[in-house]
Formats: sequence, C-alpha cells, structure tokens
Amino acid sequence: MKKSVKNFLRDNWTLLLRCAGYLALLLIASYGVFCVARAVKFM
Amino acid sequence: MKEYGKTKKIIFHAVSIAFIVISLLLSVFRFSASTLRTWQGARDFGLSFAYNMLGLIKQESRITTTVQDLPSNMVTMLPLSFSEFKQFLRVFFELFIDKDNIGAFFVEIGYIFGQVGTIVLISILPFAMLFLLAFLLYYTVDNQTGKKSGSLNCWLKIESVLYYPVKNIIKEYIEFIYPKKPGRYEKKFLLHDLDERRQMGGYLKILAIIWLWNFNVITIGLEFFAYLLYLPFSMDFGNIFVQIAKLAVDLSVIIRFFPTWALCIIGYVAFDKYRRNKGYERLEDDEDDNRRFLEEYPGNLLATGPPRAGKTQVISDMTLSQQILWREKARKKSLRRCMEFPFFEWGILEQSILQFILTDETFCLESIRAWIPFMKTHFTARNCLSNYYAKKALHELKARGYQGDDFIFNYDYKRYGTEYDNALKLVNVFETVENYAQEFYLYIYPSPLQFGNYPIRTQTRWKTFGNYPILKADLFRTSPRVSMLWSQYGHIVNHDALRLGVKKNPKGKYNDAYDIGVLTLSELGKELGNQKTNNGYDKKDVKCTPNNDLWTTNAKMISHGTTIDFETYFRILGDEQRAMSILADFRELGSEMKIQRKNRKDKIKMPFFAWGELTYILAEGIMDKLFLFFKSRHGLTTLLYYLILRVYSVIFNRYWRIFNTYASYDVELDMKDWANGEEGRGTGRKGRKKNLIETYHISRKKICSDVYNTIFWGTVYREKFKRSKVGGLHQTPQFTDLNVTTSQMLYQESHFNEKVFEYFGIETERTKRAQVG
Repeated sequence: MKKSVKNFLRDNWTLLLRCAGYLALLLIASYGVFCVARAVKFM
Repeated sequence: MKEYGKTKKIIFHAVSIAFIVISLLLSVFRFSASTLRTWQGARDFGLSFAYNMLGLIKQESRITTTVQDLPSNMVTMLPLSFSEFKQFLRVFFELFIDKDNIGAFFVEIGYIFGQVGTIVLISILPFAMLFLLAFLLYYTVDNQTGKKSGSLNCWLKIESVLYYPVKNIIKEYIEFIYPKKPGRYEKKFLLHDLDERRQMGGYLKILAIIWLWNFNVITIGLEFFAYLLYLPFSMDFGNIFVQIAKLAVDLSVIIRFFPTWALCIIGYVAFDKYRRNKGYERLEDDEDDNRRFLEEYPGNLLATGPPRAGKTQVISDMTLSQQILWREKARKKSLRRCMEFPFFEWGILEQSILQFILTDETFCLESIRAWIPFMKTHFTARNCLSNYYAKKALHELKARGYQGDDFIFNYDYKRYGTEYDNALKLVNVFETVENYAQEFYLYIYPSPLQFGNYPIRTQTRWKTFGNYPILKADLFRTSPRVSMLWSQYGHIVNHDALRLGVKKNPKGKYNDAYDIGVLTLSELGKELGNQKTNNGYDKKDVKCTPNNDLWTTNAKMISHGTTIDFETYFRILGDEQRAMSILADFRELGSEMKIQRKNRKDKIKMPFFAWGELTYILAEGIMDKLFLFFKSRHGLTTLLYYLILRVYSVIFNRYWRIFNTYASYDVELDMKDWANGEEGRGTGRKGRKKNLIETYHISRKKICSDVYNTIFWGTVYREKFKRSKVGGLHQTPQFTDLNVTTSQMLYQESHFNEKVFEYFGIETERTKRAQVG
C-alpha cells in the first residue's frame, strides 16, 4: 500500500469508522422506512 | 428599514401581491382538500370545546363530537385501533427479519445506485477529456502575475451582469419582506438593542398564513386542541391511533406537493438544524461541567505546565465561566432573599439601582451598604423627623434616581410586616433589602467582574423590556458581530491596590478600588517570586519589594471584604510553569492544576458531521497539490482555477465555520492541594496517595474567538526587536563549515565556551585584554 494512503488511514481511521457507522445507520433507517411502507401495504 | 428607489419599491410590492395571488389561486385549485380539512378541523374543535364546557356541568352526553372519527373522505391504510396496531407491528417485525424482504430492499437500493452509476458512467468520458485538456493546457508556464485570462474576464462579465444583480435583488427583496429590526442604542447600558433580529413584514405574514392553511398546519393545530378538549371527559386514549392516522394524512399534503429533490433539500435543512442544536447542547453541557469544577474548587487556582501547554488559555476560559457563575449565583440568591418578603416592591429597588448607576459615577457596592442603612435609619425615625427634613431627604434621593415615595420603597409594611423568621433568626426587612440590592447590583454589574495583567474580552448580553433584565449568558450561539457589540475588555490590575504594605505609588487613585472580581494573572511566579528569588530583599526596605508589600497577606484576607450574603466574590486565577516558582505563602491558598498533555485533539461536538469532515480532508489534499501546480506554473489567473477556488471555498468555509463553532478538546488537570501538602484527594492501592485528575473542556467558540491574546507579552519583545542594529535572524552570521572556529565560539558569548577556553588554555583577544587589564 502507498505510504500516503497508509498515513491517511492511520490518521483518520476513527473518522472513517464513523463514516461507515453513519452509512450503516442510514441504511438501517432506510430499511425501517421500507418495512413500514410495506407493512402498511400488507395490512 | 432600508430605503429603496421608488420604482424598485413598486416592483417589490407588485411581486409580493403576485405571490399572494398565486398562493390564493393554488389554495383554490390545488389545495381545495386542505380547505375542506380546515373546515373539518374547525368543526371538530368547536364540538370538542362545547363537549368540554358541558362536561364541566356533567352534560357532555348532549353533544356528539366528531374529533374521534376519521372524516368520511379520508382514506388511510394506517392502524386505527390498538388491535390493528398490534397486527401492524407483527407484520412489520416479520418483514424486518424476512430474507426476501431484505433482498427486495437491496434490489431497490441497487436500482437507485444503478441510476446514479449510469449518470456517473456517462459523465466519466467528458470529465476525463476535460481533465486531459486542462492538463495539456495548464502544463504550460506563464509569468503574467496579476493578470486574468480572456475566458475568466468573459466569465466575470457574465457574473457581474447576471449573478450579482440577481443575488442583490433577491437579498433586497428578502430585506423588503423580512426586514431587520431597527437597532436602538441608548445611553442606558441595559437598553442596547443591537441584535440583528428580523421581523416579518405584512406580505410575509399573509403568505405565511396562506401556506400554513395550504399545508394543513392550521388543521393539525385545530385537531390537536380538539382532541385535547375531548380527552378529559371521554378518556378515549385508544383513539390516539385515529389521531395519528389523521396527522399522517394531513402531513402527506406537504410530501405530495414538493418534488423529491426539494423534499431532500427540506429534509437536509431540517436535519442540519437538528444536529446544530444538538452540538450546541453538548457544548452547553460541557460548560456546565466547567462551572461545576469551579464551584468544587472555590479557592485560588494556579495552572502549571510547560510552555505551550495552554495554561493561559485555561485560566482565561475559567475567567469567563467564573463571571457568569457569579452573576447567576447572585441572581439566584437574590431570588431567595426576595421570598423572605415576597410582597416588597422589589421593582422600585431595582429601578433605583439602575438609575443610581447612571447618575452617580462613583456608585459601587459600598454606596449600597451606606444607602440602605440610611433608609433604615430614616424609616425607623420617621415619626421623629420633621416633615420638611423628610421631604428634603426624599427629594435629594429622587434627584439621584430613587423611585419610591417613602423610606421603605413604597412597601406596605403595615400589612406584610418588617420581620421574617427563617428558623435561625429574625431577619429585618432592611437586612434582606441590603443583601438583595448588592446581589442585584452584582447581577447587572455594568462592566466585567474581572481584572488582570492581560486583556480578556467578556461578552455580557442583556435582554430587557425596561424592567428586570435577563442575562443572556450564551457563549456559543452568538455571531461574532453581535458578540463584539456586547463585549468589554477586563479591568487593568493595579498591584498597589492589592498591597497592604509598602506601595509603589501610595497616592494612587485606584489603590482602594478592588472590592470584588476575579483576578487573572499570567506568569504569576515572576510577579511574586519565591523565597529563593526574593532572597536579596530586606523587609525594612523603603522601596516596594515582594518582601515588604504584603501582597500575599492581602490575598489571604480580602475574602472577608468581598463576601456578600455568605458568598465570596473574589478569587485569583494564575499561571506559571512551576508551582515552586511561587511563594509558598500564596501557593498554599488554593489548588494547583498541572496541565497534562493528553486528549488535545479537537473533537467536533456537532453529531453526524463525519462525512462533511472527510469531504474537507479529501478536498484539502487535492487542493494542496492543485495549488502548488497552478501557483508554480502560472502567474495568470484562469477560469478553471477561479471555478475550482469557488467550489473549494464553499467546502472550506462550511468546514471551518462548523469546526470553529463546535470543536472542543478536553484538558486533564492533575489537581494538587498545596495547603495540606497532598496530591489529589483520596488514596489509591497500597495506601499511596492517588492523584485526582479533573477534566476541563475547552471550546474554540468560547475561548479562541478573540477573547485573549496568547502572545500579549510580545509587545516588549517588539520593542527589543526594533532596537536591532542589523535586522533579523537572516542578517546574523552563519557557520562556514562543519567545524566550529574559535572566533565563532567566541562570538557565541557562552558560559560553557568561556570555560572551555580556560580548560584548554586558549588565549583569546578577551583573555589577553583581561591579562593586560
């Protein structure tokens, strides 16, 4: 791996982790909305 | 309000009327269902109101309410009862863990990503070609510094013809319908009204009402109150599902009206507002922690640590918090005093104090301590005073600003009495009044409650309607412009006023003035010295020295004079590299806070900003390379460079404004109590004394917003640099080789080198001169 990429990952790994966390949160929230919409349809 | 040209004003009126007409037309043709819903809401509210009123006389059965029913024209698939809700929850959780459903979700996601991906793929080729073209074009070199390319000039012309006029006209129109409140400034210090608040104009009010109607907001309000009035006598809590369904249907009007992209923007703006508020709340929680720390350590505080550890920053930050803490504490205590005689005319006392501050330049706490006993004496002796004398005394008081008509502030003492039994003692009304008056004066103190040897900017903001002022002790939400308008710099310390012994200027005008305040002193050890550094001074010296000025004696005793209603309003916050550099006499009066170099990385307290942060970091990395490329090869400013700067400045400004508002870091303070010679509190394992580490939160918005200058001693160094005969470092001699010559060693004027010459018997011009001498 390039040194600059390695350094970037070392300096910002917590930030990248948070980004991934927020993305996962967004995905789960979207899935929740998707399920609500479907549940309303199936009722 | 801003004055506009006549034509522009007519156009603005015409545009506003057009907006109203369009909105009304939309109400009739596009939002007719909303009108029907508003009527239904009004009917529900009216019937519920009647139901509630009749319920008071147990006749509610005579009314049939409608709020509990779904209107006949309303279709919804949402659950309308508890059993339906249970069924909905069951279906929801089944779907939530259903494999096929998860698959369907990812198919949907894949579809959206597919669409985005198609756009990206289509745009890759033109972008790649553009990039290649730009690279080929910009690989050339030019030295036309300060000039603009033809394409940029053309773009700037388009901007000045299209962009700026449109932007200005929109700004002017916003100012027209949503004008700023006219600023008001009066001599009275509590009547500044310099905030940049806006108020709705007539057109905006009409538009707001129409659109609140169109978007069913008025209906939602009516339905809410209708259900609230219906509930107490029906106890129909199960009907909440019908209400939620109605609310969802009413809100769907907004969702159906706006296109998806507009909804995304609205959603983002709302989300941004939420996370900003959350960020402010977190900063305010940290500030509460800081104030708690200051209360837990009520003595003097000394910040120690190596250079650039942030000692001055910590004590400056504490100075700001301490002042707000005192003002708030004085207010709370005054409220308790107020409750001893709740029907006393406190307003008259407050307004009198406010007037005294304006009319009497020397008004201070001591004036209150003289004035209230004066009132007490005159009130007690009211039957013995001649009518002429009483009137004359009152007239003189009124001329200074006293608002009452007798010597007891118009208090109806015959009805409510003049003594209060607090179960400890009988409190006389004038004792309470004296405490209340001093505490009120502290609360509205007209200048910072701080003095020191360097300037600290304190923002004290008030909201007042002409009666009791409200302290707006906000440190984070105020814009820099407003903050500067409400700011004052701290008072300059005069050490003679803190000396009980020999003074440098015994006739100084301010020698007896410090009756209150937080004293912030940087480099305190250099002022006081310690036993070793003060060794040469004699106590009997006529000249003022640290050994005969009794500065520390005053520091020990001053709290006796600065305590009001059992609360001391005086403390010293200092900093020094080492605690041992300061006289033990002072060191033992409080706690040492040794600053640990930990957790110094700023954290942005606003939640959900990780993607914004990552975008900035990546953009900064790219721009760093682009800057070097452009600036080294081109003097000419080109269109591409200009556009890149435009885009980058948006990312840059957004990131740094958020960072500067919400960034904060924690300082760990290793507490040491010198008074009992113990480090920290409590004991650790094996009975060893355990250091107590306290956390103090440093917010950028609070302390880095031009509150203090970390290099304030720089002034004297500037004077030294100015005296230089040669220039700066650049003009000083340099080594010529990797070896040091004796003349170069001699030039260094070093103690060590001088000894080296002596050890090795090297004769220099100086030693020769010394021998001759």
